[in-house]
Amino acid sequence: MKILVLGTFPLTPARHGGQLRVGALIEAYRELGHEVEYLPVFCPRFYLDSPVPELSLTPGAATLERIEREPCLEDVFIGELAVHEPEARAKLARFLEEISPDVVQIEQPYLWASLKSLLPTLKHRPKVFYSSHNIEHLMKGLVYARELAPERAQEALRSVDQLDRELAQAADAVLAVTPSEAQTLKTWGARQVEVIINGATLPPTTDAALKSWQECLRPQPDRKWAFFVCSAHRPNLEGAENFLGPKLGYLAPHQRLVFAGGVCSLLDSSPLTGELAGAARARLTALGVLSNEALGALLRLTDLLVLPISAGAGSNLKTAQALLTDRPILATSFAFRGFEELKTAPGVFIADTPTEFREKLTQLLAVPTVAYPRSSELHAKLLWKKFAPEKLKAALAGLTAATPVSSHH
Amino acid sequence: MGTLWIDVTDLKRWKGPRTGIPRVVSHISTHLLTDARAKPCVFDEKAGVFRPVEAADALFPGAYVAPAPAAPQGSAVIRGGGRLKRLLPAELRDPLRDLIFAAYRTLRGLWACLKAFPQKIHAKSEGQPTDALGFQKGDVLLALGSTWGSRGYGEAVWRLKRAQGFRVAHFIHDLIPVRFPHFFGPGFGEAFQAWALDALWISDLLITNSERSAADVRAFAAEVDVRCPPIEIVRLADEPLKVSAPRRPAHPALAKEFVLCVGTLEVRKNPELAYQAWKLLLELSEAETPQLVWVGSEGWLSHDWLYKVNQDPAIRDKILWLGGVSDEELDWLYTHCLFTIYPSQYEGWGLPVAESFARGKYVVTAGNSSMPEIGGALADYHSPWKAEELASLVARAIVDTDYRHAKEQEIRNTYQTTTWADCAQQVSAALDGHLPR
Repeated sequence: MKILVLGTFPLTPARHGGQLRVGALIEAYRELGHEVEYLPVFCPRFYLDSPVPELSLTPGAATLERIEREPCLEDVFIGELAVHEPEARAKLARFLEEISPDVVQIEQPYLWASLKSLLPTLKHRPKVFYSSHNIEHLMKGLVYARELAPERAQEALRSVDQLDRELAQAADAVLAVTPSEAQTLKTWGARQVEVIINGATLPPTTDAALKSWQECLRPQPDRKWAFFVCSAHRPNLEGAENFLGPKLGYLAPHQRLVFAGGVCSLLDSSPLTGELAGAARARLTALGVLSNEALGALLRLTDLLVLPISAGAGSNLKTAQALLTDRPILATSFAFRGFEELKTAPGVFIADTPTEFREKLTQLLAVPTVAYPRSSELHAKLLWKKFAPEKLKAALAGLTAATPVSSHH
Repeated sequence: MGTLWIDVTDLKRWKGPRTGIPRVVSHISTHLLTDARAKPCVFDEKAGVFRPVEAADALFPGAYVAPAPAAPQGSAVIRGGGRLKRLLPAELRDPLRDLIFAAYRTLRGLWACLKAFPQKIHAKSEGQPTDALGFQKGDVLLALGSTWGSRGYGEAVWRLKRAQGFRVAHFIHDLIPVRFPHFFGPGFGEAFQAWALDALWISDLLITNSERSAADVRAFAAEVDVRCPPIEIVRLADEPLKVSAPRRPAHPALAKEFVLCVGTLEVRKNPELAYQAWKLLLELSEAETPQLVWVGSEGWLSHDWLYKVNQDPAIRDKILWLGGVSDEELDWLYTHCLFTIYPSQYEGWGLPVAESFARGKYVVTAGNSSMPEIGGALADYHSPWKAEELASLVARAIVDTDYRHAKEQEIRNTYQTTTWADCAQQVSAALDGHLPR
C-alpha cells in the first residue's frame, strides 16, 4: 500500500515528541512492507537546522504575515495554506496526483483544512487516516489564553475544536494516543479508532560518552543529579517551575537538577532562573539540545528521572523513555496518562503536589541510587517497534470495511 | 574536647599589605590561635580537603614583601614625563602619558612574575602537602575569609561535614554582590550568589559585622528559601595600627592640606560622587578647596574614573589617588588629614568610618547601609546620589573649623574604640555560645 503522511513539521532532527511519534509510525508502516512518503508543510524559520526536502510545502508571504501577527496559531495557518495560497494549493494537488496514495494520514488535524477541499478533485481518491496527537482544544486552551486577546482566543479555540471533530468524523480510521482520547474521538463520530500509545526508544550511547558525561556531571563521587528532558513546549516548563521550583535553594550543595532539550532555551525568562539567577544556576545545569548519543548517556547515568508534567494532552513519550531505563523515576500522576498501569512499576515514585514532589526529590537524592531493572514485558509495552506495527496493521485491515470519505459530507 | 580549626586560606594566598578581609582574618586568627585548642588550616581546592598548617607559616607567609616606600603608585606615575614632556608638542603629551602608563604596568607585571618565580620553585620543592585533615565530631571549622575565592568550597565542606560530623561557623562580611551585581565585573554577582547559597547550607553559625549585613543575610535566605542559621554580630576592630614610625607618602603631588578617603578604588565606593562634589567645590572657591586623597588599591570598574580624573585639567591637582600605601603611610595620612569622607553606595561594615573616629577624626559619610550604625550622631550624612549634599558638608567642614573641632572633641570624648582582642573575644563568645566544643 502507498501511504502519504502529512504533518506540520519536519522529522529531523527530532526535537519534540510529535516528530518522534510520526517517525516511529512511518517506520512501523515500512516494517509492514508499505511504501511511505512524508510531506511536511512547515515554516523553515522555526526549524532552522532542518533541511527543506523537495517533497515539502513552505508558506508564502501571506501566511508568513499571519504567523508573524499571531505566532501561537502557526499550525492553524500552516494547515490552511492551500486555502489561502493558490500556488501552494496547486503544488499540494500535484503531489497528491503524482504520488497517488492509497492512504493519506494527517498528523494532527490542522492540514485537514487544506486537504478536504482537494480530495473531491483527485482522480484517485485516497482513504484518510487521522493520526491524533492530543485532543487539540484541551492542549491549546492554555497557550491561546496566554498569547491572545480573550475573544480571539475563544474564536481560535472554537475553530481548532471544530476542525478536530470534523476530521475525527470524516476519517476512515483514527489513531489515538490514549484510551480516554479514543473514547472522546468516538463520541465525536470516529468509526474505527486504534489506540497507539506513545512508545519510545532508549537512544544508544558509547562508553566514551558515558565516561565524559560522568566526569562532567559527577566531578565528586557523591554528587547527585536529577534529569529532566523535554522540548521547548512552555507547558512542560511550567510543570517544572511548579513542581521543582520556583526557588531551587532546597537542593543541598551536592544535589543538582540537569535540564536537557529545547526547554533550556526557555529558561532565561523562567522564574527558575529569575532574580537570583546565580543561586538558581548553582543548582541547575541546562545542557540544551543534545545528540542522541549524549542523551542516551545521560538517561543511563542520572540518579533520578523527573517528570513534573501537569498540563498537556495525549501521553508523554518521555514517560515511556524513562521506563525503558533502570533509573528511579519521580513523576506526577499526570505524566503517566496512557501508562496508568505502570505507575506501580518498580522504581516509580508518584508525587502530585509541589511540596510532595520536592520532598521526594531531595529524599531520593540523599540516599544511594538504586537501579531498577524493568521487565522485558514492560519493555514490550513501551518500545515502538514492539507494538506499533500490529496496531497499524489493525487500522489498515479495518479499511476494507470502511466507507469512502466523500460519503460523509 | 573538640578543636577549633581556623581556615586561613586567605592569608596563604594574599600577596601584599593585609587590608580589608585578609586583615580581619589575620588579626582574629592571631588572637584565637593563642588558645591551644585552636589550629590553622587551609583549603586545598584541587583535592577538596583541608590541610593543617603551622601557625607561623599560616600567619606570616614568606611571600609577603612590604612595598618599597620610594615607589608610590598612582597618579605620580601617570603624570610622569617632567622635562621630556615639556619638549613635546601639546597634542603628543597625553598619548605619551598613556604610553608611559601602559609600559609601566607591563613592566610592573613582568617584574612581579620574575619575583614570584623563585617562590614558585621553592613552593614546588616543599614536597608533598600535609595529609588531609580528618575532622572529629566535636570540632568546629571557622571560616573568616573570602571563601568564595575557593572553587567548590561549599560542596566540599558539605561533603566533609556529612562524612565527619563537625560544625561550621562562617563569617559573612557582606552580601553586596548579591544585591548589587553591577558594582562588580561580569559574572561575579552570579558566582557570589551561588557561594552565598552554599554558605547558608554549610553553616551552623553565621557571624556578621553589622545589623545591616545580618538583615541582608536573612533576606537572602528567605529569597532562596533556605533555613537561616543563627547569626551573631561582631563589631570589627578599629584600633589604630601599631606602626613604629608614621611616614609621609613620598608623593610629590601630595598637598599640605587634604581630605582623606580610604577604600578600594571601585565603583561601589562612589568615587564619582566625590569627583562631582569636588567639581562643585572648585566652582565655589578653588583656593579654599583642599586636595582629596583617595587611598586604596585599584578595584572593580575604576579605570574610566581614574582616566577622567587624570585627564581633567581642572581637577587633577585636587584629587590624588594613592595605591599600595603602607601601614606607616596610612597612619600618617589619618593623622594629618583635615577630616575624612566616605561616600560609598553600600557597605557591610564601613570600616574607614570607624577608623577615622578611632583617630579622633571627623567624618562625612553617605548615610546608607551600615554607616549610620557606626557613625551615630558623630558623623554627618549625605545621600550617595547627591553631590551637592556631599559638597555642602565638605564645605562646612572646611570653612567652619569651630564646627569641625567641636565634632572632633565629641568623638574623642565619646567614641569607644574596639581592639582586635575585643573583636576576637566576641567571635570566641559567639562560638562558645552556639557551638560549644
